[in-house]
Amino acid sequence: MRPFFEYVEGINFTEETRKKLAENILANAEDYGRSATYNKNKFGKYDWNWFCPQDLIPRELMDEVGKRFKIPVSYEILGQTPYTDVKIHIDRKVEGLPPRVTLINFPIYPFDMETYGATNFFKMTAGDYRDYDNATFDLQCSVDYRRNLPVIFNLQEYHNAVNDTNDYRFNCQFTTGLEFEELIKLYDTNQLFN
Amino acid sequence: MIDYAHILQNGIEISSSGTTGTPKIVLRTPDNLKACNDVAVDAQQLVRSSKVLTVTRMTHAGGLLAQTLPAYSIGAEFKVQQFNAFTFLKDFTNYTHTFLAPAQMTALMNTKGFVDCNLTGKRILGGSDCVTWEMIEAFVSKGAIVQPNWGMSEIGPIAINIEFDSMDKVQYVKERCPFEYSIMGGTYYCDWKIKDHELYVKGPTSIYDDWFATGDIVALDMGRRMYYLGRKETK
Repeated sequence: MRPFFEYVEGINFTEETRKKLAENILANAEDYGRSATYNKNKFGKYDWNWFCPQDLIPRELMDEVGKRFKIPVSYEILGQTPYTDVKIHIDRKVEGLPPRVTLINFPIYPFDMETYGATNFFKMTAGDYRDYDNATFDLQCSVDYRRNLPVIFNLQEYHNAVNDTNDYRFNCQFTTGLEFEELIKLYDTNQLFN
Repeated sequence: MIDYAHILQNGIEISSSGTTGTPKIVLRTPDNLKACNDVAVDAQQLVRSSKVLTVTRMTHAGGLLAQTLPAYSIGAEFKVQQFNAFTFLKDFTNYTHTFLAPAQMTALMNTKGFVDCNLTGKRILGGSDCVTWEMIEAFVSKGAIVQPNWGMSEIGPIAINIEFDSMDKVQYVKERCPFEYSIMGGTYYCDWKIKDHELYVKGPTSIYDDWFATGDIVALDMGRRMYYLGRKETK
C-alpha cells in the first residue's frame, strides 16, 4: 500500500449523510464538468472523468467529515460513468486550482462495496509518459473498497480509477497540498483529524 | 414487388454494410424480424394511422427494416420511392415518418425549399452514418422530431437512439456532448456493455446469441447518453 495509498480508520460519513450525498450527486450529475482528453490512444482508449463544479458542491453535507480535518483541505467530488477505465496519470499541480498532491478519498456511490471499482497504482517501467501509447506501466497495488474505508491517495504516483459496471461511481475527496509522507505521518500520530 | 408477408413469415437474407468487416449475408429469422419490428414500432411511436415515406433503398436496413416492414406489420400506410432532394419536402407533406441518411439530410438542407419548410410533428429517423448536430438543429428548427439512431446489420436497425423534439433539448444535450462527438442516443433497445471502450451489444434483435463486439469506440456522458468516438483500430 504505502507509498501509494493507505486506508484510514476513525473517520467516515454516516450512512445517512452518504445517502444524502449520493442523492445530491445523482441529482446534479448532468451538470458536472468533464475532465477528459479528446484524442483516443492508439488502442482506442480515452480518458474520461467527471467533477462537481465548486458551486454545486454540497458543502454542508461534506462538512460532516471536512470540518474534522486539522489541516487545510479542498472539497471535491469526482466520478466515473459506467465502464470507465481512466487513463493512468499523476495529478498535476495547476496554479489557481486546489492542490492535488494527496487526497483523502471517501467512496459514496454505489453503496454496494462489492461492485465498487478499484483505484489502481502503477510504476512506469519503460518509455516516456509523453509517449503514453508506448509507455509500460506495472500494477503495484489496488484499493479494495470492500473494506468500506476512506483512503489516502498519493496522487504523485501513477494511478487510475476503474468502473467496470453499468452504473456511476462517485467519491467525495478532500485534497491537500501535503506530500504523502507528511499526511501519513499526521495520520499515524493522530493529528490528521479530530 | 416485395412480398412483405413472405418476409415476415420466412425471414430474409440481407447484406451487411461491411462496417464491421467484410460484407456478409445476414439471415434474419421471423422471430428476429418480429423483435426488430417491435422495437421499431415502439421507438418511433409508429401506429396504425402513421404514414411512412421510405426513400432509402430496400436492400439497406434503414429502408426495409427501420420503418417499412414495421409499418407493414401493424397495418400502417407506407410508400417506397426513390429519394429526390428537390421533391422530397413536398412528397413528405402527407406522411408522418421517414428515414434519412446524413447525406440525404445534407442534400435537403441545401435545397431552396428547406428554408421555409414546415416539418412540425414529422418524425425523421437518422442513421447509417453520423448525424451531426448541424443536421439535428436544422431539422428540429423546422419542427421535426429528429431521432439520431445507431444500429448495425448484426444487432438490428434500431438499437440506440434519442429523440429531439425541441431546440431546447438539442441545446441541453449538445452542451453536454463531449467535444462535439456524434450522439448515438440515450434510449437503449438492447443490452449493452463497454469493454476497453468498445461497445458490445446483445438482445433479441441481434442475429447472435452472445455479445457482439461492434468495433465502435463509445463514451457516455452523465446522462448516460452514448457518443461515437470512432472505429476500433485493428492491430
